[in-house]
Amino acid sequence: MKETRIPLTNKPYHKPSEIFLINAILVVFVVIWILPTIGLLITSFRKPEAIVSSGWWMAFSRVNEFTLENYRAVLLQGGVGRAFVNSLLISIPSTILVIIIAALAAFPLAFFKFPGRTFLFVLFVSLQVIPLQITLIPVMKMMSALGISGTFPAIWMAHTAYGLPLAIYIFRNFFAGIPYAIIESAEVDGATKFQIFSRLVIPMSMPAVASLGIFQFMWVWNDLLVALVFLGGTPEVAPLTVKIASMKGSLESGWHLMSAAAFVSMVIPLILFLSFQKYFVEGLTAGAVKG
Amino acid sequence: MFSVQGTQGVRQKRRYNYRFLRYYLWMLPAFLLVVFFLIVPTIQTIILSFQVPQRVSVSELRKDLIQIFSETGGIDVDRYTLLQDIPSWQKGVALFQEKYHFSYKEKIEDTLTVNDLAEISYTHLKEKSSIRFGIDHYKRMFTDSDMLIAFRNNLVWLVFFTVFTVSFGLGFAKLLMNIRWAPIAKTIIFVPMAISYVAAGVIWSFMYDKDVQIGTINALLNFLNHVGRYFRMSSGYYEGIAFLGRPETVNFALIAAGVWMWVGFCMTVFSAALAALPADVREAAMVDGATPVQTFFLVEVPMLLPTITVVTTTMVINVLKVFDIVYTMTQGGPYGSSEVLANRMYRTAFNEGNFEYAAAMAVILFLCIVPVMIGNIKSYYIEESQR
Repeated sequence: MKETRIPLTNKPYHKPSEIFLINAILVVFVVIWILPTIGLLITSFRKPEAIVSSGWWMAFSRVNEFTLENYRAVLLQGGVGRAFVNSLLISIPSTILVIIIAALAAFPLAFFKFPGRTFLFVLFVSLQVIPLQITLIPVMKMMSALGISGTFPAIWMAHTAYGLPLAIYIFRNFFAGIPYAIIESAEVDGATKFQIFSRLVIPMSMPAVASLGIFQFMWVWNDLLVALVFLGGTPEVAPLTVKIASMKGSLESGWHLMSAAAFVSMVIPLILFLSFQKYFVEGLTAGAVKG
Repeated sequence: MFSVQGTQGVRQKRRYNYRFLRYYLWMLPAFLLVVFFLIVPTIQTIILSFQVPQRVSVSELRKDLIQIFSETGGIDVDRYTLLQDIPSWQKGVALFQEKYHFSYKEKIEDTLTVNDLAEISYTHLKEKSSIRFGIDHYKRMFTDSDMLIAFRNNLVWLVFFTVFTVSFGLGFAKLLMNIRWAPIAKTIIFVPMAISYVAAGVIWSFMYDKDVQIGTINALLNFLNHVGRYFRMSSGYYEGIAFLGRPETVNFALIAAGVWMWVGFCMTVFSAALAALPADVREAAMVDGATPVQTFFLVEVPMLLPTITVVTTTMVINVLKVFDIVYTMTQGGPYGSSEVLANRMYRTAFNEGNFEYAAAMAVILFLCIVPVMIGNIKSYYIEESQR
């Protein structure tokens, strides 16, 4: 048997048996972590009668098991297709608005001095951890008074407002890393403040825009509470989360429909996650305490 | 070379005028949204939580009328007594109107009974409920059995969710440190963070299904039971446990789903922190003959304490606000045994329409987070003063 190679890095030295043990433990946990999702994914492609007669783990041992019918049924008849479009109609404007409004606010906070700057910054960002519950009732009353309750603009405004504290924090911190000399030389060259903002600062801040944009989009896409309260569960405007929660609560749909609907709601988050993993993790890590 | 601070200072002095006002204009949209959606509503909710509406009821009015008529008429009056039988009933009616600040639009005939009069009065008064300020809603919370269960469950969540997410996160981060396939493992463990609580709720309700042919966990237990029968350790008959349908298991089943979602977050933060630890400390420990396990618990964990504190705080904040997962998986059931604060608050406000009581619950949630907010405000001020 070959002698064990001592690593040249600062890795702690492990015996081969220990390395095997660590790998084995990790494999077990990784399997535990992925199994629930895989199980439901397989179920979503099985025929309803197959689902109730045998477990998903048996699916590959049987013939004529799989079908796309569940997806067709939820998307076309079950109203999940409509909810998917609603989720997009809610999430995209809420994301764009928060990026624009937060960047505008963070710009002077990061680069210029003026009375009340520190106070305003602390005021904005300290609201990050506020539990949304404490705002829901008055905001809902305000929206009914304005007659916009249950409409998309109402929820766009709500999500934008709730997203701002974190967004301003992320932008302010990112902008602060841009050397002031760059801003100053642009000023000397006669650029207006808005030109500096739109032509210099924003293009340089694309990483922050990406992580914040992905975080906000995911937050809104996955949100249930705000949608329940401000859209009132009206089917014409309900997003996927509300739709699936009500399907689950009504006990009408079997697992074949529930599983397909759940995966329809997971498609976009999973694509975003797998294609922008770095920005995704950054954004989620920064925003873990939000509302 | 000027420092950034220096150049800014010079610029300010030279052109000091009110042009800084335009900076406020940049912040105006954000300011308005934050004020109208976060700050003002927070204050309104706090005020609302102390408002105790005094709603009038027919029975209350009737009781009052009976009392007034008994005093003014000097006879025993009950709800079926006719007004004509009560001496000086007009005086009683006048006193009653005075007490409730209203006057009858219709003519009061003396053929009415006291009960009729109470019902007529109610049509006048039902819109007119007065408001009193008090801590009644807060007091009520501590006698309301649903709320007491919610408090208890939030505490159970607090302990188990926090301990499991933080320890699993730290454990995975450490074990994955020098593993070749770590990126794949990290991706898999992080994926649940990407999906909604609602989707996670569906996934885990499916895992917990009582039917051994559907629910993965019950199928596994069924399989173990069969293996046990082979070794004569069990009866071999297993009918499945309804994890979400039993008060004693439901909370742990929900917490497990929550842990499954959030371990990825903890792991990512700890991985970054572990990688940032200076290598020489670990090397020194190894040279001194510490085993990897000793190095981890006696050197690395103490050095990670600040990170552990931050992650733990984050998890605690999360627990306080836990809502979606309970709402989707159990709606607080069975028999309210998995209720949590946020779920109670939602149902009280938006299903039962009791905004004042719900506001008090929201204030409790808010108060739990205030210490974190104050800590943050302090550190932001320090951050700012060092710029």
